[in-house]
Amino acid sequence: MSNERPSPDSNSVTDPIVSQAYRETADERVPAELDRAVLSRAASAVRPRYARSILWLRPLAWTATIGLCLVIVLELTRVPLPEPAVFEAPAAAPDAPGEKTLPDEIGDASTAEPTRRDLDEFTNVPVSDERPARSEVSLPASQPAPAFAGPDVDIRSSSRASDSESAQTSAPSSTESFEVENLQLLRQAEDLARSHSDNLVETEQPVRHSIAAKRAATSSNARDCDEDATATPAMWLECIENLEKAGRVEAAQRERERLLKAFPHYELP
Amino acid sequence: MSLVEVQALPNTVLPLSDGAGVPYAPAMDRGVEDSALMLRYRDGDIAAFEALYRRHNDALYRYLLRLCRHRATAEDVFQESWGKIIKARESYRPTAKFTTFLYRVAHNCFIDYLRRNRRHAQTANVEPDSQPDAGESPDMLAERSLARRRLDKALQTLPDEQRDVFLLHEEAGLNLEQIASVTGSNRETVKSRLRYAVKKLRAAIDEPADM
Repeated sequence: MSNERPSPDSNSVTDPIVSQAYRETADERVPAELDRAVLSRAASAVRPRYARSILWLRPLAWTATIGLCLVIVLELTRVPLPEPAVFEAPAAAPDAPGEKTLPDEIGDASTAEPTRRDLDEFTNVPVSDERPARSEVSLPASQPAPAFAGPDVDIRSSSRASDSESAQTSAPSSTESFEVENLQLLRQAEDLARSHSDNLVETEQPVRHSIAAKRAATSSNARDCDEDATATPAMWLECIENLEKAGRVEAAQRERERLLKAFPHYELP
Repeated sequence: MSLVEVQALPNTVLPLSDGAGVPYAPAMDRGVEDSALMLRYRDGDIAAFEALYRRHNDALYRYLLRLCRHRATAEDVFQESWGKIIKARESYRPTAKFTTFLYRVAHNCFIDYLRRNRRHAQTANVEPDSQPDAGESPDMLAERSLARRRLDKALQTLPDEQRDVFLLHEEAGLNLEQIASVTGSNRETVKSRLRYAVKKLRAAIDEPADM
């Protein structure tokens, strides 16, 4: 049998007979449990990679969330909160007459007017000619009475009435007390605004006088025709004619000379 | 040089036998390269690893089974080898043929096992578990069984280096250069070992039957 087989090639390192024999004998296969073990290991090796990234991302996400919350809280603390002085003012306002204790926030006259109008709509108080004494805010005697004194008086009377009612009733409702407080507040704001406007009227008069005097001085001394009137030669001539008609001949002559200086080639009529 | 950075080998295929080429390369679907599958597995594709494993598992198992000559040891080294492949997926670079990389890892695992356990040589216990074909006659089965036993016996008597080289050639289908890369030897040494191994095996096959 061995004589029938070809001898291995001396130039080659392999023998097909040996290879063939080995192929026939080598037919073992991997046990199934070994396959499963290797494949499950391969699968689990890929999964922890994802889990590791999760472990890394989780603290990062927490840190980012906490940082964001801190930033938001800091931003909120920087925003100035509205002070509750508006609602504390009536409680702080003394009942003693003649004193003017008003918070600065409600001293603005521009805010007092629309609020009072709104209250007029909601509080249908009967109009009465009776004018109570203005004891809450002491105003100078020289100041004229404001134009809106009538409704103001009504509000005060109604507020006083409500005050007395609230004092008589043992347990007033919270809305009623709130309206009363608002009325008092409005009243004080109106008085303060009125005083401001009166002061403005007082300071306005001397200013007006000084402006008029200055205008008169400038008109008599410097130029009889202003810049608008001297924009063109025709307008300037018209101004000069007006001066002549008004009997101010010297001024007209002076303006005529200025016209000739300004427009030397202009032919006067 | 690390395990995964195996130097690229020349593409020249050495004639190992006359017209035979690679005598026992495992039958694989080469639609997708092994290295591409490994790269896909590196990116998390487990199916790619399974395909890669199915291509090489049996050949590697037989290689280790005959190299270790002990089934439990072969299975341990087999698992350890694939474990190293799995671990090395992150640093894997397709600089060489994947088969070379795989058998190099397995060879190193076997060498490590030898260093850890010296008594492996005395525990040769490999029993072929092949099933006979139903259509074969009793005489043919007897002759095949006899040839198998002779070849197994001859393989077991081969020196470790010669058996290693022969198995790398037959099971992995590696050429001399690739075997030299796997075993860390030079090409001529590999060629000499392979020639001696084949010669002894041929002599064992050609022995007259004792029956």
